[in-house]
Amino acid sequence: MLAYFLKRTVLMVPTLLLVALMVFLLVHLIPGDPAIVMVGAEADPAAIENIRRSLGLDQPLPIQFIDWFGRLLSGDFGKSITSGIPVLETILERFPTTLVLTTLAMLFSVAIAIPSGVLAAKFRNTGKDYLFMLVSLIGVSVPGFWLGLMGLLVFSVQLGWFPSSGYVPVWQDFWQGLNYMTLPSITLGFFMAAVVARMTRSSMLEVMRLEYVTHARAKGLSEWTVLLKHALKNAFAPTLTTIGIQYGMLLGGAVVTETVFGLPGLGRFVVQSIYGRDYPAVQGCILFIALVYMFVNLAVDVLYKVFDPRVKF
Amino acid sequence: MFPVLKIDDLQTHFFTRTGIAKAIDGVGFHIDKGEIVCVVGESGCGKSMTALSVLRLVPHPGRIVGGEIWLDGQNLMAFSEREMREVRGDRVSMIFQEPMVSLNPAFTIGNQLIEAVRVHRKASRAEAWERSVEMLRRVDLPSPEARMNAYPHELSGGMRQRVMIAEALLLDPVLLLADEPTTALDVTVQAQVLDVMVRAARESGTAVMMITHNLAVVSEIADRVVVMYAGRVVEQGTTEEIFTRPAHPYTQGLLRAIPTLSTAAEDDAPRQPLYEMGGLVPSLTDLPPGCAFCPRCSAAIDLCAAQKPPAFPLGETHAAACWLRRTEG
Amino acid sequence: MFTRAITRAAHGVLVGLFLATAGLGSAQAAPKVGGTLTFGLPTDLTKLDPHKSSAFVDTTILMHVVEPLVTYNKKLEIRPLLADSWKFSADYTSLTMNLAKGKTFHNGREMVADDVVWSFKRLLDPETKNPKRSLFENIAKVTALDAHTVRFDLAKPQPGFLHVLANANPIPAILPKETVDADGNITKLIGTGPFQFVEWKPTQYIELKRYAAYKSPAGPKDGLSGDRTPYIDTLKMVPVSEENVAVMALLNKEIDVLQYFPAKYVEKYNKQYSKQGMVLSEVPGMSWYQVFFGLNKPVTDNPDFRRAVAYALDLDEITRAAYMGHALVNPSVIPAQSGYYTKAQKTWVSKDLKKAKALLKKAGYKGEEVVIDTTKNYAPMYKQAIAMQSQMAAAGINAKVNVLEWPVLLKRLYGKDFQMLSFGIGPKPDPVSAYNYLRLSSAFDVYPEIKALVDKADSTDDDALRRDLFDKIHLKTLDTVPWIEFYNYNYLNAYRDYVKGYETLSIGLPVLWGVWLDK
Repeated sequence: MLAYFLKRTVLMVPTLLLVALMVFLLVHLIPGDPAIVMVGAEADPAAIENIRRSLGLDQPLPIQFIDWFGRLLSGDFGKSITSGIPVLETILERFPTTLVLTTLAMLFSVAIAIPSGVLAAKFRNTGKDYLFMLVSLIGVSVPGFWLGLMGLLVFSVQLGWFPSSGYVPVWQDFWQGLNYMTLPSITLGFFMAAVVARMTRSSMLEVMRLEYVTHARAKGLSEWTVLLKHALKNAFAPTLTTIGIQYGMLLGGAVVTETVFGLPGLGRFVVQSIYGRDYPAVQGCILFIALVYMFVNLAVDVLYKVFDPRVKF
Repeated sequence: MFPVLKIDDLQTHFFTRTGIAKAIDGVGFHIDKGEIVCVVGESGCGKSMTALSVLRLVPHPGRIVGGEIWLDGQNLMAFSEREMREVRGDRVSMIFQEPMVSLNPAFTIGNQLIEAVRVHRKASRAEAWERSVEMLRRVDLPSPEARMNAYPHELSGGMRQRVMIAEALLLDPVLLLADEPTTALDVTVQAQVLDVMVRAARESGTAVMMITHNLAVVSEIADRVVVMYAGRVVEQGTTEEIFTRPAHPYTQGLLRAIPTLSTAAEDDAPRQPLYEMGGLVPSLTDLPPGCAFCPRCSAAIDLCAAQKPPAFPLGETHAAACWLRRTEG
Repeated sequence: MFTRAITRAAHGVLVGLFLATAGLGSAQAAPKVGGTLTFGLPTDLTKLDPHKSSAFVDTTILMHVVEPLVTYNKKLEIRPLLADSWKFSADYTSLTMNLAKGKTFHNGREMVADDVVWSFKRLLDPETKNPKRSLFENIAKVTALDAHTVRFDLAKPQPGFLHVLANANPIPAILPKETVDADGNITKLIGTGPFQFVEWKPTQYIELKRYAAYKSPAGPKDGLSGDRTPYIDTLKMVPVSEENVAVMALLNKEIDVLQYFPAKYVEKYNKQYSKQGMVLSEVPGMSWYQVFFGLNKPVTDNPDFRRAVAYALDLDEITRAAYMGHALVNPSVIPAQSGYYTKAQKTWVSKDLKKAKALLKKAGYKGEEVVIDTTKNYAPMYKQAIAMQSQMAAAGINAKVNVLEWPVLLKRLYGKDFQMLSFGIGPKPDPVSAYNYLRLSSAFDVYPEIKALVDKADSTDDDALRRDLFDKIHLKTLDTVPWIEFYNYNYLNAYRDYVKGYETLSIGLPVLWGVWLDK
């Protein structure tokens, strides 16, 4: 197990190298120029050239890559062009917010998705199932932006339960922070829940056709035991993968939710950085997100064994 | 004294989009206490569905639409779902065809055995564990204690089927439904596993309804034989009656299809190829009005195509549903 | 600069040149000291260091903490702030300023001439990397003559130099040395302004508090000048970047003032919010939108073609399309608030499709595709491009709208790589700086006579002469059409009715001194 973990971790290195190279190329190939965005529309060309030089953007691309990559190897992600703050510092400052948001959203979504997926599978092809399919279809198709605004309108403006703006991190004041996080994580979790519930339902249906489920029934077990013990544990393995993918993706930044609710998460930082052609910031963030994604994947694979003991490391 | 199992005019139909499939279309037979009855027939003839009907576990979109199932004189069709649960795994247990997929891959052998005990008996985990290990020993599973903590995929097919047998007999059921329990196994272990099952069943006095298409097995273990074709019983009788005096053309065809030592050994007999029945099994959604076997039957007469033959008794224990046997009745 | 409360009827029609009914009236109760005011910003502060900043939002915040030597009144005339009085040399190469006495930094120390010298040295240091450093390049030397007198020596004569010292973005702020740390960075900003800096939690809030020892310039409050006494104890400025959410936050009283109220909510305000204790003020602004022509590109290099476009366009319609009526049509570079806004500046051609078609024929236009570059990052730029496209189509011009990302659009602008480019820009109170900015369109290269007129206006402080020169330039653009100016949009500010004395200036800056809470 530990050996497997180490092996996988070592295998991340070449992947990260590749990601680094690709991200660098991609970021530098999109048109636009950080110096120009920095000065806006009102600077003279000499000032722009000056800034380009001071940022090293006048160097040939390979030199820029080697320079960036060399420092990256020593753990230096570089400084943001826009703010001058070390990129890693900003990432580490912003990531916890995204982590909390995404984790709460995931917990919320799993808490409602698994039971509803199981119920839908139990009542497959009945009115209850169709209702579930409809709600989950809405869940995956409603734009998060709209859902967020509606949530604010109802729960913040009409009912006054939650604030509509502002932010306090949960690690500063747990209860108040949770107050700020509730609506965003429910909004985000709703989409995730729809995806996970649909996956749960379909893999439950898949599993329930299998002989060991009939066997479990033939033992005289109640239908609930059959569903929740025998079917669910097996159906959970593919669902877990879905949850992992969703979670990993959102850890890279739930941009829309973060924007609507004004949360200082990583996603907004990435988007702002792309917008400002802040090369070191974009590169650093994407690399960091790739790393997080790989660890989430590893965690999913390790957890997978819990639900499917046939998996070998 | 009641038979352990008595099935009367059982009808189990599947309501599919393409029509109603009559998987079981009027099956009737019985099994006495401690008796081993083999149900034979080709795939899809309704053997497995008969077993599942007994447990009332016909999968969606199937449904038992008619007939009666009596267990020890009690009509199972009148049982509530709760009462049925008490029957399943306790008084009637079942062994499935594919040991690779019939044990839950996500739980240890011990977990599944202990669960089987504790769902019906007030037993501590330790007691259930003891009982399970004891049972595993009875089915000749090597090092049973260690196997308790193993997952199904860590066991060979034969070992898994022994686990299934152990589980099925854990609570001394009156009836064991064995659905082709050795078909999926290596030929070399088939005999051992079958032997273990029969021996264990005999020890606990459990009646066995064994579903198989292997007539060699039938001849070895069965007390009586039920031959099924397209959801109906075409012939039933003692093993001796079926093998020596098969009355239905389908049974006769089945018997001719077994490679026997005698066909191979008799020098003077012309080497005949393994018999194959011509034609296809009719679609269950579109059964002919008369005898279902009629389209494939070389001896068919006009009546066969027109009218469903009833079971004509050929003796005290022997009967065949064939118009050709009418005179004998 | 004037505010007025919006009424149902006032929609669209701009009567902006009357005194406000809200906030600034004559019969007001005496200001109360105290309380906390939460101010909704569109984005977060980008840099706490005024010398490094170049973002407009930074000025909005930092102008409450730091001060320049001189500043603007409502009419955009230069007024004293840290400097009491001043005198140019006859040839406009040197400016001697007397500093206000008794002005203290927030650390209690008195502001003296050495601080002015130090501040300009830092601002002009290339290492400080201010993107708009070139604005101040004409300063050759700053000398402290005594504790309260400084002299600016200029590289070349610049009669408009006071506008440089009053510049809003970046603010040429006078800071004490003590505000920078060992690395030369500012993390605790110290200034001389009415409010002192308390804390910046990036993306969460910027907190300022009342500087009790603040010494205000004399005279009544007038734009950024005159009485600058702070009344609010705590100013909390929070970025609420999503405009819909910002409106909700104002409804919830989570914020007391919203700097940018979305135009699409005005109707909702008239129907509902106005009865819920919300006040909306609409101030004619000086930000301006236009289309540039690529004078170096096929088709658009032909003045007849450009004239044809001028005749094809209906400025009123374009303005409505872009700003839903919350903007003032203006064909001139000079805003209506300016003293230089003469009758000549209002002159432009009227839409006339016949003339447009005749000019197209004269230009030899054969239906070639003409591309209008624009971006969706700033909605008005996109909306006006779409309106232009359809109006040009009516005249028989095959125009195509090309939507680009903001950085790419900027690159095209700087590279002079466009046929038509739909754009907009922040306030330029001084016409010279406005024209200088328009050099981006390559008009100065193709029409050196325009450049000569701009340079001439830059070298004189004779208002009558300047007015005349600006008129000439405008009439010249009427003939050459290197660009077409469309409109100046209005600032829509909303606030709770207990906020008293609040106003936004025509250059887009909200003034929070002189504001008090009546709760």
